[in-house]
This record gives sequence, C-alpha cells and structure tokens, in this order.
Amino acid sequence: MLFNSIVFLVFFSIFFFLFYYMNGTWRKWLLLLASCIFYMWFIPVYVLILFLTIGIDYFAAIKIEDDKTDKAKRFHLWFGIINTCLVLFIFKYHNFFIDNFNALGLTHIENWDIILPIGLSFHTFQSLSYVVEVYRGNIKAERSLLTYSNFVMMFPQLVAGPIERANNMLPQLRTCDHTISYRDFSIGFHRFFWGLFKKVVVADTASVFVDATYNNYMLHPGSMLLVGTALFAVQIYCDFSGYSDMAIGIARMLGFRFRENFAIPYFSKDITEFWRRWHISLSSWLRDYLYISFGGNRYGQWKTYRNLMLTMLLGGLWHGASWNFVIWGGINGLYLSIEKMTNLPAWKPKFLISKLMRVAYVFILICLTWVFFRAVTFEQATGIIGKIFTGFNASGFQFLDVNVFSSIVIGIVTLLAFEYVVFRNLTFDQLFDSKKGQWKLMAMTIFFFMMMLFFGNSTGNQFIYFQF
Amino acid sequence: MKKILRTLLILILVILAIDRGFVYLFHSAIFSKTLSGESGGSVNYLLQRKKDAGLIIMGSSRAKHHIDPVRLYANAEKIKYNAGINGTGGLIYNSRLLHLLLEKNIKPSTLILQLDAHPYFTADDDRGLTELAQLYPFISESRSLRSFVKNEAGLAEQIKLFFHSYRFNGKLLNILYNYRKRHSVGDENGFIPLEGILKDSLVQPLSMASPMPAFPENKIAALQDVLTVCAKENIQLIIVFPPSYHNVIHHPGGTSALINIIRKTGRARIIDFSDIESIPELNQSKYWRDATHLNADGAGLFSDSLNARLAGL
Repeated sequence: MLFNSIVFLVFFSIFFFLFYYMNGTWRKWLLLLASCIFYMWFIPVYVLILFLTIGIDYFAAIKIEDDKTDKAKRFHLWFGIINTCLVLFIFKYHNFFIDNFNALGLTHIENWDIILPIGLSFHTFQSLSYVVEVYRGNIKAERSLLTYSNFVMMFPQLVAGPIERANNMLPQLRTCDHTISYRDFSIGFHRFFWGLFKKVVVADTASVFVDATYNNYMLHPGSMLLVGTALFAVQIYCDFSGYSDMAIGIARMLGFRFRENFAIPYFSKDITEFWRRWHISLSSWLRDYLYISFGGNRYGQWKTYRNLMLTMLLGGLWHGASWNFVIWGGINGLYLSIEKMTNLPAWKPKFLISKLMRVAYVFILICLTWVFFRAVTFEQATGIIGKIFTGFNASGFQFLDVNVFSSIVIGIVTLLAFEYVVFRNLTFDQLFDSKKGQWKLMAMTIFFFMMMLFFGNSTGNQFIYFQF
Repeated sequence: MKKILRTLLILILVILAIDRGFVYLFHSAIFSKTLSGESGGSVNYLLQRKKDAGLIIMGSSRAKHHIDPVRLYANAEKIKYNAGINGTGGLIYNSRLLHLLLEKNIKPSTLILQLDAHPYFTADDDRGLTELAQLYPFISESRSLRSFVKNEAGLAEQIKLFFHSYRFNGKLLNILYNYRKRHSVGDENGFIPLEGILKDSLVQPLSMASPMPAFPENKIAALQDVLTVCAKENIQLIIVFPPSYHNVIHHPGGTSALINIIRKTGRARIIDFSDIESIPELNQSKYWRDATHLNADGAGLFSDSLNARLAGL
C-alpha cells in the first residue's frame, strides 16, 4: 500500500477513526492488525518473515537481559545478530554472492527465484539496534511481544523508515493510551501533505526525465545526462524525504513522535555535513553500530580513514546487492576521509558567494555518486560519466516533453522557496505555534494540494527506497 | 475529534471553492480561447474552426509530423485536418476523440488513422490513462468520455477527476503559453513538419519482443470501437502504418497480427508502409529527423506516396 494512493487514504481514514476512540491494549492490537494489512498489501506471505525476525530478536533480547554471565549474554547477542542478518542475507544478498562466486569460477550454483521482501533492510536494522542496545545495557528488554511487534512493524515506518530507535519508540508504544490532540493531528496532517507534494509534484515528475535519459543513455548527449543526473539528485531527495515526511506526519497524527530523517541536506557546505543531514536515521545507525564498533577515531588517523571507508562500503551494500551501490558507498567514504584529512568542515565560509560555492561543491560531488546509485550496471554508470565529460553537446539538449519539464521546474522552484524561506528557519511545530500559525499551515496545504492537481504526476509511482 | 472534523471540512470546502472557481474562470477566459498546442488547443481548433472537415487524420506524432493533408489531392474533400498528437496519440485517445467529434456534430467522410504495431501499440500506459488524460479538459462536454472514465479508468482516477483542476494536470503552463499565441494561429491544417537531419550514429534498433507480445485488450477494444463507429456513421476508415528508418521499429509479425485483427473485426482500408522497402527512397537519413520521425522533406515524400495509394483505393 502506497502513501500516495487512494487505497491508503481510505485505509488510514478508517484506521484513524478507530484508533482515536480506542485505548491501551485494544489500540496496540489495532495498530498491529493495521500494520499487517499494510504490509500484506504487497506480498502477503512475507509477513511471516517479519514475524520470524521479531521472534528471534524478542527472544534474544530477553535472554540477554536474563543471562547472568557475560559469555551467555554475548552468545545471545550473536544469536540475534546472526539470525537476523541471515534472513537479510538469504533474501537480499544470496544471489549477489552466488553471481560473484560463479563469475570467479568458484561455484556453479543457480540463482534463487525470490523477490526481495519490501523494506527488509529497514526493519532488520531496527531490530538489530534493539538487540545491541539491550546488550549494551542502554535499554530494558521489552517483555510484551505485542509492544515489541508494534515497534518493528508500526506501518508508517515499516517499509522505508525512518529507522527508529527502541529508546524513542518503546516508551510511546508501551501504554498507547495517549490522547490525540488537535495540535498533533494538525501538525501531522500538514506535514503529510508537504511530503506528498515533494513526492507527487517534484520526485515523480523529475523521474519522467530521469528515466527517459538513463534508460536510453546511449541515445542522449552528455548535456541531457548531466541534467538527468542533477534531476535524479532532486528526485531521490524528494522521493525519500517526502516518504519520511509522510511517515512522520502519519505517526504524529496518531500521537507518536518519530525522529527527523532529513535536514535540508543539499544546503550542506561539506560532505560531512551532508551525511549529518541525509537519511539521518541510517547515518546515525552506521555511526553507532559500525563506525564506533570498528574503533571510530580512537586508534589514529589511518585507522579512522579505514573505518570510514568500511562503514560507507557496508552502508552502500545495505542499499542494494550490487557493486554499483558498493562503489557509491566507497566514493562517499573517500570524500569523508579526504575531508577529515584536510579538515575542510572546520573552514566555515563567511561570505554569501563562498557559501554558495561550498553548496555547489557538495551538490556536484554528490551528483557524481548518484550516477552509480541510479545506473543499473557499472557499464551504464561509466558510460554516462564518460558522455558527460566527452560528449556534452549542449546544442543537442532536448526537453523531451515541455509540459513535464516545465512542471519539474515549477516543482523545484516551489520546493526551494519553501525549504529556504520557511523550513530552514522553522519546524512545523514552530509554525503551528506562531501567530495565526494554524491558518498559515492550512493555506500551505491548500497550495500544495492545488499544485498536486495541476502539476503532479499522479501515476502512483512506488518509492525508490522500497527496494531496499 | 469535533475540532479535527471541522478543520477537515473547512479545508475540503475551501479547496472545492478554489477548484471550481479557478477552473470555471480558466476554462471560460483562457482555455476555450486557446487554439493551438497539445494540451487541448489543437482539439479546440478542430472543434471551433474545422467543423466542416471532410478528412481528418488521427494518430501519434508519426501522423502529426508525417502526413500533410494538403498533399492528399486524391481525396476530394476541401477541408482536411491533421489531428495527430505527440506522445500519446494512441488508440484510446483517438477512439474517444472520434466520439467527441461526433457529439459535437463533426462528422468527416474519411478518417485516416495512423497505427504502429510496435512499440507504441504494446506500450503499457496504465490502462490508457495517459492517453485519456489528454482529453480531460473536454470531459464536461462529452458524455461518452465521462462514461468511459466511469467504466474503465478506475475509482482512483474518478476521485481525482472530482476535482476539476485535475482536468488540466500537466497542461496549465502549456495552455497559458499557447493562449498568448491565439491571435497568430497559422496552423490551418494541423500538420507540423519537423526540422533537422538524423545523425546515423544515433540510430539504434529498439529491442523487439519476438514473438510479438499479446496486444493489450483495452487497445484492441478501442480499435474495434473506432471500426464500429466508422461503419455505423458511414465514415470511410483508412488505417496507415508508416515506416521507420532502417526499419528500427518494424515488427513484421506484429504488423500482420494487427492487420489480421482489423480485417476480422471490421471494414477498413489498410495502407501498410511499415516496411521501409515499400518506399525505398525514404531510407536515407536526409529524410529523417530521428529514426522514427520524418523531417519536412521526408514527410512530403511520404504524403505523396500516401496520396498515390489513396488514389488507387
């Protein structure tokens, strides 16, 4: 079920009404039931995989807490980690490794004909962080299977995050008898429409140009591929941050608070800052559970660079079982290491022009990595980069479809205006609390809605991050 | 809950008021006066200024840029119009356009319909909604279009269409742009020749599925609808398959399968140029803008060849 579909609108309206009037345990069961329906809308049987990982980590965490010795605790920690990762490996990475082993001549095994369960990487990471936190003694193991199931399965964040932490969500889910205030509903509602605007008006319209250029890259000059790449940078940001806004908005309408997942990343002035603002729930997960576990910056310069590279390579692999994603992670790791080496983030630009140059520097470098992220094969990625640098041919540029291209431009200009003027300075909470804040938010939502009607691509495209 | 519901109600009412008010003003003050462009302007032109057209050409960009009605001397009709449309001029669009014309009492004696077996005919486009959407600005004027949307487009599309602004989805800027040119519309017969010459290095055959995949049922139904309506209204229907440079999109099996369907289901004359060898002189890059679109010189040559065939019918 997609947030940007009429089915979801009906589903959520019924769910919200019931959730509003229920309390305590009934609410928890309703939330679990709704989450199951939401997930089973894609491939019903895959809900069993979710229950399996829930069962493994629920059991492992309780055993870790109850064990008396460190050895037993460690055993159950690894039991949880290995089994959860095994599920991920089987469904996501098995074919990738088999392909590579076969290519090296080490094996001659056939691929498995399986479809990746939607959002598997997201709930796997969420479960893993819970087990590790219980092991580290930062949180108590959850004894209620119902509450824990809701933590993993809660439908707003089930398939594409934000990757929530147990210390934030479990206390909210334990009682589940909070009153849904008008303020929460209103802020959540308007946040949802902001996300929907990003998805329908910006991401999905940009995807038309991006798909047309990338899918037939041999036929297009470098100038079109360059614009296609820049538009993909916008598309993936609006697709994913739009989803996060909608997820955060839905949760807020229900009275829950999710963590922020994006903080206007393309206004960053260095790559380090970009990664603090982009997919925050994943980058903080990678920092807390990989980078720090590898040793972080505690063992000298070179090991810090090594740890950064390893973390980002694994972060790339998390996105997808393909060398392109590994290369994407590797390039980002390289950027971060070079910035650490040169201490670039410490040089704060003072003047507007230098700030703009730094923003452009980040955008250009990140765009280069997006080529590997978007291209299906390594040959396609290198072919596109090659054409951008050697076959630019500016006069060969075509808009393809003027209607679509003008909608893209209108969408991006509106996005930039709102992000720069409004959301750079104010959160939705602050807007609501400002003078006539409710009316301002309502006016914004009406504007976004009309923009969707006039300029949106309403074909109900899936979200890019569902595949991860 | 009361406050939440009250807010939602206010929001919906305000949106509806803006939606209805804006579209009413936009439609009456701007859209109905826009007489060119692919967002309904060229259809407006046909409805308002070509009511007596005796020959109408329908199809995709491969009709719009290939067939010059003026060169079709073999047809005795005085008023001829090319109503092809770029990108989305497939069968679903054309069958609904035909109904719209008939509802507006525009009844040509001859209809030339351009078709391709591959890839346009087989392209999946979400139940034909992309094609259908091109005619949404006319939905309130066409009972047939409303009934088609109700039966075929699905509930989600109907809900979106409840908001009248959605009729102009993706078209607003284009209409505004063409509105500015309303006093200088010189495109009297609808044909738009393309400039430029193809670079051979850019030609790549599109991947052809072999055997040809099954034709989508909704498109076959639209084809049958065109055949039935033309037979019922006594309109001479001529179906034309244009060529492509070096046959890059020619699929012999697909074309014959489609021709068989046409022959089985109704009366229509078929002119098959899908194999470039049927007009060998066109197989030179100087006649093409890209591998599937002729330039002005190529379109002239193609229109002359079509005229010769029409004369032989």
